Amino acid sequence: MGHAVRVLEAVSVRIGSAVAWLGIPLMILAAAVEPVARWVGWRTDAPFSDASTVAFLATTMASFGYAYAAGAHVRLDLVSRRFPPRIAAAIELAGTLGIVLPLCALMVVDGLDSAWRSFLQGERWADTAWAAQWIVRLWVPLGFALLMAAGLAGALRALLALARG
Amino acid sequence: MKLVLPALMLLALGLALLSGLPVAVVLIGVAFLFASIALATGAMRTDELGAIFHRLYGTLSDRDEVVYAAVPMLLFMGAVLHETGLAANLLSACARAFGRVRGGPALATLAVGAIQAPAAGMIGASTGALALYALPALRRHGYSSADAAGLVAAAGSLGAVAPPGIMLFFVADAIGVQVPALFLAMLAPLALLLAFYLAFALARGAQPRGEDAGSEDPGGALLTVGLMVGLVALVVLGLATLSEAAALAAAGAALAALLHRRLNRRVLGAAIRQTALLSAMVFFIFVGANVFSFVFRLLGGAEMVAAGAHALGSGGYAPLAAALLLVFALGLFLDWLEIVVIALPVLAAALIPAGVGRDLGNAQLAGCWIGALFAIALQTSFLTPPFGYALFLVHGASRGEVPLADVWRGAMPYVVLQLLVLLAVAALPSLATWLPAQVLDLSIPKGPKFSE
Repeated sequence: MGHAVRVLEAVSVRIGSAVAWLGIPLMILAAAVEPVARWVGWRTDAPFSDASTVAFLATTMASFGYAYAAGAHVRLDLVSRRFPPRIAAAIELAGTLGIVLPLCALMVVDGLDSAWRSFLQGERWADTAWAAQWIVRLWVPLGFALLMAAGLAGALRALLALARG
Repeated sequence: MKLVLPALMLLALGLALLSGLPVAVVLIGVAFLFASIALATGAMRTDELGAIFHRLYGTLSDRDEVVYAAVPMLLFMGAVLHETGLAANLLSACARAFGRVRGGPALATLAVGAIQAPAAGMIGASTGALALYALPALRRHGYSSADAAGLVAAAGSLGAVAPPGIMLFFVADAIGVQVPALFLAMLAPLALLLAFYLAFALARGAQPRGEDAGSEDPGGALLTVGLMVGLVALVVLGLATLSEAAALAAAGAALAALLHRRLNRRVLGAAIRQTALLSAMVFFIFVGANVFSFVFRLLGGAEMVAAGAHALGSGGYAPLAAALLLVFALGLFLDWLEIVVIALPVLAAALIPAGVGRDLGNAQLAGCWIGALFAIALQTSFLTPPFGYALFLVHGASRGEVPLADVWRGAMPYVVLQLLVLLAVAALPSLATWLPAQVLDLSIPKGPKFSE
């Protein structure tokens, strides 16, 4: 079970980290080029700000699982830090199974459905001809699938803690 | 029944937050629980749950929602300045500039807090970083541990109210006011706050002992100031959108680090990791708050808050005072993000119909005034015992050397000064509204975010 935890966490961390390495510089460069192009009088029809928005959406979605696995999501621990380890693990397990995984399942199903409809309709991204909207929409289910992997790892980790007592 | 369910929802949220689960998970869990009650009672239809995906996707992918894409870019700028040590240069440059005057080290700390905190993005990052390099310097200059810790906590939390602080983006968005307008609205209250802080620091100031090691690289300090001022100026002058200005500032920080030969794989990796994790934390709470407020509104939560505001009278001041007190009280326990994305949209949507700011003649100006007051109230709550967020950060950054009681004692005078500024802005709305009214066209409406 420990191996499964490591694999699931590695998937969300590595994919999230790789998307961040590509997405954050792209997001910044693309959004910085747009005003400069405008100031020098070059008509761009906004492909750069579109690219920046897509990079932002992709990075944000792919980082949800990365941050979950890294324990970076903020928690209010005024009371919970006094909980015995077994109680804390039981709460973590209930929260993951009862909330995180159903949310992820809902968003993956709705997101895939939305991307599929967009593909069938040949929907384009805003005014820019180069980007198909379904690829953009696909980032939401992908992000929640990565969060689901990190959530499953958290649930298994909590189970292990409960089993150890 | 109409008012019972949303009240129970808030109560459940308060209790569930104590579980120690991630805040976003708690928000979504409570929303799911009450959505199932709403489904069972017929107050909600199953297909309405599908709206959650469309709200999330529409918000994060909308090109007009320039506010959100600016957040990771600002975080990246702050991370690069911090990791390369360019932000630390600012403190030593300020220490040198103020080094010879009475209260100089305190003035330097405040100046750095006001300039650097917005770049750090989150109160935690800015207060923690400031404490690491300013606390030892202040102690060396003979400040008592209470005075030094109080000063650092106050200076570190200035990022909450200083443009282009990230909190102001979300406050503007929650209230439905243009972001540049809120930036401008904060300038006079911030100047007043700094004037009070500086006067107090001068009155309490110790005579500097010896010289601080001056900055080897004053260019780094000037650059940090230039990036902040440039970013706000580009937005206010209409030369760039918020995300474009933030991107230029982030690219400028990376370019400057490269020119100073401080940009390497380690620094870039740390900045990207910090940006990705902090953005994910912010936007996961945002998703959680969005789901929570969606269900809360379906259950009649907005009507409940509006009825509460109406019950306090329509004169304006009583509902406003109650809302500020509530925000202040929430700030004792919660981080700003949860308060701003959960409570503020509902409170703002209730306050404006209750007549708050009606005399100002324009919904945007009323929003600027209310936004400025909320921002100051939140900043004050970070400094207020027993749970003030900045106080714990300073205590933690001192590695326990400064007892929590000393931090509390040191911060109390600054809390009083902040309350004075809060009262001044409440009594004289023009402190917040004059500048945006002069500079910007406020006839373009921008509706509250969660009012649909």
